[in-house]
Amino acid sequence: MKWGETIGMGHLARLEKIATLRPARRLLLFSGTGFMPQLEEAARRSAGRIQLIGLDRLYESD
Amino acid sequence: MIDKPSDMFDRDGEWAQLSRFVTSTFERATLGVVSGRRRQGKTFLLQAMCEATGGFYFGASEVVPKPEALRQLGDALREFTGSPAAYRFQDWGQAIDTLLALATDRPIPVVLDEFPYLARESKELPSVIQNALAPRRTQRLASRARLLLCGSSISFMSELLAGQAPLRGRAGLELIVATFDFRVAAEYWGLRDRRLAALVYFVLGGTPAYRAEQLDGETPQRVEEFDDWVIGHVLNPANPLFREVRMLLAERSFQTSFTTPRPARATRSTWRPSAPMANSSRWAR
Ligand SMILES: Nc1ncnc2c1ncn2[C@@H]1O[C@H](COP(=O)(O)OP(=O)(O)O)[C@@H](O)[C@H]1O
Ligand SMILES: [Mg+2]
Repeated sequence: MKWGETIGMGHLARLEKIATLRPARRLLLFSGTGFMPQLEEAARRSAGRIQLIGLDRLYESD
Repeated sequence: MIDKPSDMFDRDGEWAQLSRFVTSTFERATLGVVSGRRRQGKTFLLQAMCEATGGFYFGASEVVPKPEALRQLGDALREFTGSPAAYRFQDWGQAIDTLLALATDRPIPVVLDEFPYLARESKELPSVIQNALAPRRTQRLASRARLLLCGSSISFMSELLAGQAPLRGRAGLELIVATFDFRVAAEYWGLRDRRLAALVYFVLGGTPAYRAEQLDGETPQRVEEFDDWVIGHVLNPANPLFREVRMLLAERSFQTSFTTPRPARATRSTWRPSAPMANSSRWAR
């Protein structure tokens, strides 16, 4: 979670590296600001493995 | 189901549980326990329930010697019943039986709020209540009282009902009044802007009293107002919120001292209160 930063592919790469050490079924990225289009695209193609959680989703979805 | 007062925000679940407990047609006195951190609205809920049902509420104000606590309870009872004669209790046994006798024809809540204060000076109180509520005891069978013990020390309140404790297995209600989660809090503060709602939640969490009392309802309405609001209210030494973190930590060590051995002196004296609320204005950027 980076509150003030727009989250992009760099953040995802870091998380992927951690996931090689500690395998995870899903990767959750949170942001208070938003996500880069490239990352949004990657999330769309990830079949649910990459989840982007911005404020709207945090406050609205179940 | 008793109507929830209109000035009570959320708490539908808690209200429903309490209603069910106090209106149950069980033909004997029953016991419930309500706990939750300070300032979450326990007293608010219980007083509202007593108002709605004609119940009796007594809140111990602080730790006082047993005779004084019994005298205060007697005064509250006299006010409640309008009795011309004063109630003079020699011990808790008499006091609890008098409380049970308040509800003979219909169930009403009978609340002892800040119960840990009372129990601190009267260690026998839980066993006195256990005895008063013994399954076949005449006074219990004749009473419809819904006796509610309430306290802010969650560990103390849950230990009341745990393990070898006298009241273990006696309670028909064990209600925990939790702090509002971030979504409920946003609604409570009336913050539509998600970013602002999150920022305010980072600083205050979900404690309802902060808006109602410490802030007099003063919350920022626009995200641009957030920094000034933090400086003007939370980081303002004249606002009680400024010292709140310190108070919370002090309360905690006070409350755990009811049930756990005191930490060694050395650890106590090396403890330093941290700065008040973390400097959160930088998050607003
Ligand atoms: N559900 C609620 N709706 C509106 N205000 C509330 C609610 N719960 C608590 N409050 C406010 O918070 C204040 C503190 O609550 P209180 O009942 O004294 O907390 P506790 O007894 O848990 O320490 C109340 O006086 C009231 O102003
Ligand atoms: Mg209270």
